[in-house]
Amino acid sequence: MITAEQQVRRTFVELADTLVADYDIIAFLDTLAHRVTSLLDVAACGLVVADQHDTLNLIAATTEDTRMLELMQLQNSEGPCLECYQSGSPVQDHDLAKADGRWPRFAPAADARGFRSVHAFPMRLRDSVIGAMNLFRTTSQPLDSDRIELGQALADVATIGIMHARTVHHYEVVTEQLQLALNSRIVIEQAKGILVERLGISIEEAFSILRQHARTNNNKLSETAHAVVDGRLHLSRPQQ
Amino acid sequence: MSVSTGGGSLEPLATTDASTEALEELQYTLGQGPAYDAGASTPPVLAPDLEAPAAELTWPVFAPAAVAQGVRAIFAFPVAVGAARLGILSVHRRSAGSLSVDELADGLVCAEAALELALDERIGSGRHDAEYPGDVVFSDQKMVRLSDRRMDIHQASGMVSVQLGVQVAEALARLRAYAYVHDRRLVDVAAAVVARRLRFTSDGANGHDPTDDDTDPESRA
Repeated sequence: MITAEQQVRRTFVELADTLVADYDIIAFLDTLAHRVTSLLDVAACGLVVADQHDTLNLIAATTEDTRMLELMQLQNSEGPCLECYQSGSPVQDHDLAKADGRWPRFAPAADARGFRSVHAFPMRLRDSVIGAMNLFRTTSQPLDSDRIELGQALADVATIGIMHARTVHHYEVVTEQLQLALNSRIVIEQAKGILVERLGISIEEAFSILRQHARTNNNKLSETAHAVVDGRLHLSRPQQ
Repeated sequence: MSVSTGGGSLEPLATTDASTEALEELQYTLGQGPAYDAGASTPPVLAPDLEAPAAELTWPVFAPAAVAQGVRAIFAFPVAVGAARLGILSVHRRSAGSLSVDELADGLVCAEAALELALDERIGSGRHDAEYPGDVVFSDQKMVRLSDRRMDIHQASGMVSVQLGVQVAEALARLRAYAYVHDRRLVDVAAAVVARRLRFTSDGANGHDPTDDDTDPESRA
């Protein structure tokens, strides 16, 4: 029997272990997003970061469900992530069914997908905000204060992960790291598309094949994906 | 300012003056310099002071050569999308100094604009695709902009690259052209590909997408 506290401790140890030199940003964020859903008992988690247009880009999510992706995308015009990113403060709403005054497009869309409450935590870097962590719940219960505190701590860990755990003194490094992370994500999507088409599998299966191959061979997810896109690596369906 | 494109090797495509072109060529000749490095790595390569020890360590031959030509700072932005790199956009300064936050963002935006033009160029000048209006300027077409930021655009590029047996950059160019010709948003075309409602075929037929209706995923046989 693992207590909640042990689970939290294990997660932080696991994440800290990942933050060694030259680690895999996307795999790190992917692990983080999945741990967030279990630790905070939420249905789904998505991480967005801002690019040079100040547009929010999905960088990691616990689901490949396109409906979920659309929900994240919507938030470039309105929604908890945008509010959180712009204000730098956490945003929550526990009754999405009635939040259409606040978010006329986002709230009904989230409600229609079965979500009852949302939280967004800012990914803060000193006095700026680089993105947000978005949590979705299918119940209208608010998160308790312990979980809110933990949620913010995990959002801060996500920031550290993207910023490569080193002291970032300069906006140039912030931009470089964000570009690197965003482009890694794009390479992975391109590789997923190639595998989907070549092997006749789903997007989820394609991601899991990539992840499995990267882990088994101790490679970065983005490098594995790059090799697939360049045609240097041919992956096949896992044997049943 | 200069943009370089090419397959394996890069070469200057457009420069604002002859000395800039010489500077670009020097980098590819030496296999050294910010624009050369930006071809192999993803983030922009920023060299705010070519006389600084760090720059001379990184580019021992190129840095002094550039300084001798009166160039003190170079900033190279990859013109790239995911694993597909179409070129480098680089700018230089005659005095040392970093780009400001806004200038850095502008550089990224310009590199993205260059990417879109380079993609359109591929379709315009490429192959035998009579159905594509080769000389149409796409630049004011908001509907085919990449900045919609949807990840399924990149999934769709991967799928189409297999369907057509082409590189992902060309697949993306084909997706954009299809969106343009059919007056559709790029994100919708991408979504149709990912949902397997639309396939691209090498005979130029571009497959079938009888409906733009997302509520009707059953439309394929």
